[in-house]
Amino acid sequence: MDMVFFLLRHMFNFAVPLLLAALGCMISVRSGVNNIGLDGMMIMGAFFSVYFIRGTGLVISGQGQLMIAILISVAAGVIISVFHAFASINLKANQIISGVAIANFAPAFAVFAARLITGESVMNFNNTFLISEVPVLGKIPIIGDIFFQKVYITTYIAGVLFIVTTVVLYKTRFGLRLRSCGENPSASASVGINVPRMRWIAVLISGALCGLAGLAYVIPNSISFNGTVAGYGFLALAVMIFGEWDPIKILGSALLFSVAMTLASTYSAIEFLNQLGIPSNFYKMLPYVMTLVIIGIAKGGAKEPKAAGQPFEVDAR
Amino acid sequence: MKKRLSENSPVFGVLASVMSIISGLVVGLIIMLIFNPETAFTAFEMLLKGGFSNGLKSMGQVFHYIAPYAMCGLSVAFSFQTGVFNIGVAGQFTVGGMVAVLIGGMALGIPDPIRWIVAIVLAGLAGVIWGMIPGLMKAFLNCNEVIACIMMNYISIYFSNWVIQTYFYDPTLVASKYVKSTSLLPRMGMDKLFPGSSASSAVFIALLFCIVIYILLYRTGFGYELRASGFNKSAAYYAGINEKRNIILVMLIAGFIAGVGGGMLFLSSQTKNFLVSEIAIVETSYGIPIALLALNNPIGVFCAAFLLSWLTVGGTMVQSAGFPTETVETITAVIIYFSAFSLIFTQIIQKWYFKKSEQQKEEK
Repeated sequence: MDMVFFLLRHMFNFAVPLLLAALGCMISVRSGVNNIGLDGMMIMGAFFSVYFIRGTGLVISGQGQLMIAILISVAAGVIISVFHAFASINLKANQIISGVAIANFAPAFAVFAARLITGESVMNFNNTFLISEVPVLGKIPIIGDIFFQKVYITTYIAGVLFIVTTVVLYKTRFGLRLRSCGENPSASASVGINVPRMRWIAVLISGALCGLAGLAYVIPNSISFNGTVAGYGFLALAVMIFGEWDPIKILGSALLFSVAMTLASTYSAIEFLNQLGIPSNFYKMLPYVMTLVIIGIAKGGAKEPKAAGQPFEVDAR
Repeated sequence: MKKRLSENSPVFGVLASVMSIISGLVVGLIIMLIFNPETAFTAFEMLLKGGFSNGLKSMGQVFHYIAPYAMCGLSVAFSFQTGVFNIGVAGQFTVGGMVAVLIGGMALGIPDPIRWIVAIVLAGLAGVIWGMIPGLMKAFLNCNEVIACIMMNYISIYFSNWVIQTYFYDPTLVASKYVKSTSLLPRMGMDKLFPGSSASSAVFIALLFCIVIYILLYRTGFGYELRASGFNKSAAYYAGINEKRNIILVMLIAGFIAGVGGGMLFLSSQTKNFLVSEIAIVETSYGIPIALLALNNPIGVFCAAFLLSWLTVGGTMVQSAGFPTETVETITAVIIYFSAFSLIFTQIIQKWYFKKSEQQKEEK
């Protein structure tokens, strides 16, 4: 039973960054702006927040420090997404190119800056953020073991943000307007919605969520940051497409992906899998092969917001 | 009076690319100034000096880097022109390199004089297989080729690591063993011209590929068909162009180009071995920037590859001024960002140009 809890906790740690980044990307795409720079936004969020944690490690620690780090990661994500928003909304530039630029810029910049600041490409930090047991709730059998022991606060934040995103997208006026901008921006503009403004907000939100996702990737996985989030941003893109641009389905696909990631990283601890003698490289391939098979079956693209990737021209009505 | 340029003259595109490059360099310099104002100008000068920085050896290194850069850029540019986004160059390049290392290192009874040819052709075929999978998925299952290609990139890393670790591994190097010196590409005098560098005939092969693809795209009916589907899918469909067949063929050719590029990189010098790591081969990250700067023109690809090789060689020098080698990658990414504005740049230049020629007319 302990094994199952161990695997489930592992799974959450993989699922949280994927979920956050995929939700961020979804908001942007549903407003009509493609965002393939997720990976870069995650790296920027992770870089600046780890830099903060590292710098203040002697002064503060624990959850308080993590909360400030979270705010910093969000801010970093928002700042880098400004570039994407400006290029794709104001200048009507190619959104794919701008996204690729951000995805290429961030890892190079993170290592560049880390080397200049610390002299090394890897930034180590003191990881004091594990909550070994939530008071009271951690005592509940089974549920307490799964959700309230050995967790990181980012998991709960992701849960809250997931609910907020779903409600905002489907139950508020803002969400309806956002979705309309991604489906038929001319019609939205004709009823007085400021399409560029809605898209700006959406891209900034996506930056915020991705920045947080970057920190949520680093915290449970390691005590150092080396300028990469292991391609989670691109995986999140696949999660979003497999999740058909819908928050609830995105949650499902993020969990499915994290099962594969969990197998890839923990197979040696599972006796049955270890005895099969399959080389470790094949386990590492598994999440990616699975994605490939899944998008083959899912026939992605059918439910993509119609105006995604198209710049909005005021006179094109 | 000077001949007036027409509105869609290629000159405007070239000027727009030059503007992206200059803007990228300026922003790069600003970033460098923020981090280290004292040595930023020295380092920036080293970066621009590139191939002139260390005599003929640096110049030879510029020619050495052109080949993999141009092949990656060409693969992306070719697919872009036809409306497919081959972001899977890294994977195709990696498996190509892996196959070339295996053949070049294990010889497999292939006679010396033709071994390098067999190796790079098979490397190309490995690239074909890697490119075909996303191509088939896009054509028949209507999958997003961007996602499929990215997944193929990750799979290529672990797959190649497995093959190398199983058949041709040197644990002390955490890399493949070295290839046989008899398997290397012919140097064609490049080693004498540029002593101490890794320059080889690869640069000529890359140039040849660029010319062949140029002819294919602009001088043949098949190329016209491909560009037509890239320009307007519906019109191409209406004109009876078989889109599915073309998507598969494009990914096949693009995969071949990238695979050969990978093969050539690993057969270019004796000391180049295949590292077992979980990070993509660094040369492949320049494929997209080069295609963008070249405006997807195969000849432009070669020029853009030259420019980025120049900066890469300059980038190896900036360490002495206290800047990491990632400086070049950072600046390249800024250049890509600005190349997203190429349409705006083109419009600005055109506006300025036509306004000026109007004025000249009025004065007369």
